[in-house]
Amino acid sequence: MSVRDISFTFADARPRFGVGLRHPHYTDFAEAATLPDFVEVHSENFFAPGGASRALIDSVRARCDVSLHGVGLGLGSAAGVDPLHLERLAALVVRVEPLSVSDHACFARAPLPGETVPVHGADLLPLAFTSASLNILCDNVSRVQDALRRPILVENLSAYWAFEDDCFAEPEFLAALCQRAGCGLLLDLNNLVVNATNAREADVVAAARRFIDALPAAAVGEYHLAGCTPVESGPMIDDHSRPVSDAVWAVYAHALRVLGPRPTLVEWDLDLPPWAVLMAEADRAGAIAGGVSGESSDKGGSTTLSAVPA
Amino acid sequence: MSAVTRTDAGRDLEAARQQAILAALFAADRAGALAAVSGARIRGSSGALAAGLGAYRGNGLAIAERALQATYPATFDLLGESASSAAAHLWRAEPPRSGDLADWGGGFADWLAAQPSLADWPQLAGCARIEWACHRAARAADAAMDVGSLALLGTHAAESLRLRLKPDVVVVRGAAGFHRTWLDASGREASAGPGAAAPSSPDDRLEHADGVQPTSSTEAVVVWREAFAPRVEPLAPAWAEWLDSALAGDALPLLLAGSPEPDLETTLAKLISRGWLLDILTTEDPA
Repeated sequence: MSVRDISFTFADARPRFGVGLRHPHYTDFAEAATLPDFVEVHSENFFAPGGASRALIDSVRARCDVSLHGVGLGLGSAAGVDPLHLERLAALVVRVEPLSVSDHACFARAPLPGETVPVHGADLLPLAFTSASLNILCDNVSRVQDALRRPILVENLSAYWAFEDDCFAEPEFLAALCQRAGCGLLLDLNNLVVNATNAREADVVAAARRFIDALPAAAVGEYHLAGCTPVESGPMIDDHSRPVSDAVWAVYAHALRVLGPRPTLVEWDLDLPPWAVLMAEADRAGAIAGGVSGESSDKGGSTTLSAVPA
Repeated sequence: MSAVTRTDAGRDLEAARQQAILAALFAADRAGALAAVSGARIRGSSGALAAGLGAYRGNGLAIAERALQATYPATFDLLGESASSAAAHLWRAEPPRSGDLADWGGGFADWLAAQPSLADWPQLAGCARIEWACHRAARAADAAMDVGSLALLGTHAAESLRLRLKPDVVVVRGAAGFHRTWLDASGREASAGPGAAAPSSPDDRLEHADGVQPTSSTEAVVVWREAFAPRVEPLAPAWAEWLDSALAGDALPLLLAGSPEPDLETTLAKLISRGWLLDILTTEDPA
């Protein structure tokens, strides 16, 4: 069976348009008359068993749907997932009842040489695309899903290294993960652009489109959009510090056409703009999705959708 | 070779690769990092390897600095330009063990205290201890006082009772003047702690706070959370010892013997007014 023929689907999720909710925007969010369809928070920021963060997440949840996006599980770690981290996440999931729970296809935990207790790299470190790596990732994702009693979404990385012994292409690796573990894919389109840029692809948008074309549509549960700082030398860093780039908008339109509409989230983590600017980015995502939907229902028609990148 | 053996061997190889990469990220210097990662089978030129390593190591240090500055803002201000290198040292000496960075950095005060170049400034490590206690208090579990448990005082002998304080309450000790150092660096006004007369003016409050243990080489403060905000107050020595005893779960007679106030009612009234008391338990209740 081809990995494109998977037996489940994350494609039923209603298209929604959200933004990442970060600390500088808490007051804006609380006072906003118009809210996005959902907000995404970083799970670890709300692990404290008490205090202001706990009250805050309750108040956010009372106003808006929430997705929980983690950066600390280290799902591909050969050392396994930290039981305490998983326990904290499970408690938060029960409290928040999120739209989705996600983390990354990365590793983060391993004991240093001569030690037995793992350290945590506090980063999203790249996995080798090997069978052993896939087995580790599938086992850990299954353990998390068992603990949370729900499927999770796993996000593709922006990675500054690849490995000599990779034996899967990344889309194939991610599709196999989704098929075997029953999780979905949180497809970060900016990461595709960053990786294509760092791989010195002549046409980064075309490279990202090829990646999308190789994915099973049913496995994709959400899109992430972001922008990052352009570079003149060295690797492009996925710092989520800029508006969504034109390249990412173009890749988004392609994903909508090929994979279909999904919940879409605009991430912005550093050098945050005013709340209204962030909301405008989410509105633009909605306009593009609406335009692509119009194309689908009006095939061959003469409607020109200027909001939709080619 | 069996399939099982191949699988185990593959996992071992991935575990070794991941260990090598993390060793590179936390290596003391670039040369050590390059040596650590040399067996990780990273694809591409040595330049690509070095560029990626620089990105990951740089990101780690940026994360360390942001995390530590959020937890220790006053200590960072006091350290000035050397704060970044202090964060880098701590990052490599005591890497995070948890995926929640709020758990990292508890060793900063001890690390500062161990630096020979800071030996004549012991208040700095004390300032860091206050900030770590505030950080912990801000995140401690919510806990409301069990008013009904006070009834045990009328139905049980003192020998069979003990007090339990809320999980955010902690006593912090440091070199004389460490509280003042923290106050100055954080731009706060002092408030008087237990055992001290009410101050009459802001200036008096500062003098009063500094004057709790004017002749001692060390002093103590209590840190707790009021609503969502951590609070810090100076403690008289008798109160510091008594709170230590209560936090250790000592039985009521021992607490009565060392009470900083003339009677239990006064002590309890101060505990309740400050919001430190969680409940009263019998010695047979689980902690």
